[in-house]
Amino acid sequence: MSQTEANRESLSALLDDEANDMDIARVLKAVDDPELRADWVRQQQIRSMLRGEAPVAANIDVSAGVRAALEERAPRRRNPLVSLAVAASVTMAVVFGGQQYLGSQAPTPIGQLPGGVVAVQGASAMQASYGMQRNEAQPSRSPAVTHVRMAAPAPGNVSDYERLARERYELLVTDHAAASAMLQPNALVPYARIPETTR
Amino acid sequence: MLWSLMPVFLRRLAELSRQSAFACALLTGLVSVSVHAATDCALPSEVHTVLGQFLAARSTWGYEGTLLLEQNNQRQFITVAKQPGAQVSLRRMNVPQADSAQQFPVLGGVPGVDPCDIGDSYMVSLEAGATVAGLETWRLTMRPRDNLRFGYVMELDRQSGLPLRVVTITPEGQMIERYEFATIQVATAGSTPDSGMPSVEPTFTLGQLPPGFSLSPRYGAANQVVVSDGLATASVFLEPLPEALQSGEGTVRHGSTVTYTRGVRTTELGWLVTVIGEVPVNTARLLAASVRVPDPSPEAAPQPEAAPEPQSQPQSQTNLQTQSDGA
Repeated sequence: MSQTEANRESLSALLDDEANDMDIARVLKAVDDPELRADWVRQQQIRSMLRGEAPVAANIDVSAGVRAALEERAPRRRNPLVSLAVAASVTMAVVFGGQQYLGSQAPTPIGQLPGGVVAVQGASAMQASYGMQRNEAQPSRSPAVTHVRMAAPAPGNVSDYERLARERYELLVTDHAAASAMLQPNALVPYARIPETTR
Repeated sequence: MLWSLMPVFLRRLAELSRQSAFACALLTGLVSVSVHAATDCALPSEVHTVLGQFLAARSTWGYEGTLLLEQNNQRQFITVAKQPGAQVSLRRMNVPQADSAQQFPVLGGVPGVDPCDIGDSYMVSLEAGATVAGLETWRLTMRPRDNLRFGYVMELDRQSGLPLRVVTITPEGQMIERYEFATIQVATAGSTPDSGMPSVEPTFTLGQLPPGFSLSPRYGAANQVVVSDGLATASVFLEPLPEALQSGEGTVRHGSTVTYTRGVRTTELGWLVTVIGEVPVNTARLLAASVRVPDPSPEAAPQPEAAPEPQSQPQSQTNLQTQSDGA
């Protein structure tokens, strides 16, 4: 495993609250690695989107200031791993770029949307939110956006929607292939993917 | 702490010195790293060159040959032909109608993809590849930087940059699609670009897109919006929801193509959002959740069979994701 991959794995462990002391030390040591920093910002963006929080700005970097502060204030003669472990979960949020909230157009958490998620190969569902109920009031949003309230799906709707998804695929896949062929480096593969039965 | 970072910094400096952009930045004293500086273009020059050749190959080279496509545990042999600026022709060899070739248009006019943009979403590495269809190749390995896209291992013709073998891998490491040329004859490079497509204004827009994805500047139909990260493409379709159907969602997968359908029922009308793309289902869900539709009024309702008037007033749009559970 390359150093970069090891750093990324340690960063993922940290974000998943599964980091050990070695992970924390490794991430702090590689704090100046631009790829790792970009990874952190990206992971935070995705996590905040999936949670429906306001997007994280990608261009905020306060690491220099934070590090300077740490340099000045870090007490001497302490077990470095212990102090790192204590500080890491708080420090990471700041060292790698902080979070800047962008306006008020936060999307509603995906998990609040009604409907079930069908587990398919190669795509892990974030959560099965079918029929999920929520009682909290929604925060107010930009007046430019109208709110839509959705009814919870009826039981058994998942299979209806699976059937519907299959029908939509057969009806629309050629349109998708045409658009994809415009953009794909290999123009014929999107057409080759279309099953014979849908034509 | 600064001293402990020095070995890392020196190793990094040695790596970066091969990249002129970074070397310039370092020499001019821009050592304090910001995320934007790191992602301006982190590709080594040789990777940039091969990736650029690959991205440009579609409109500059014609070819004909036999393609093996594996998806859904099925294998197809397809005789294919493409001329630059012309349509593609496919003849499936495993079905009885193999006598008749299918013709599809290849439309162009889309701005080229910057290899650096690919580098923002994928970690790209380059090495010598295996011989494919008798041609020497470069192997480009593209590992996604997140789980919103698939990974690819591509073997590209060293002369044309055409992909001769491509394996698509899920974030979990499973192969879900593979294609490979058994034979190929690459024609002389042509200068005719692919023909353009008349732009159609869609009846809806997308809000915040998943990281790395951007709107395609061209649209296939009024009820279709297309996004891409440079390699993966997804189409978002919007239709009226059938009256008998309540809200819900469903997913099916065909090879690397996921179809995610979500029905949203309001008190007045319903919308059916369908995402079809070569992306993980979570990406499709995020795209569906980003749909913003015109305000509910008879004139603004999408008519899939007709071409409605463009809706260019963001003030009168509804964000499908902005809801609470109204059951």
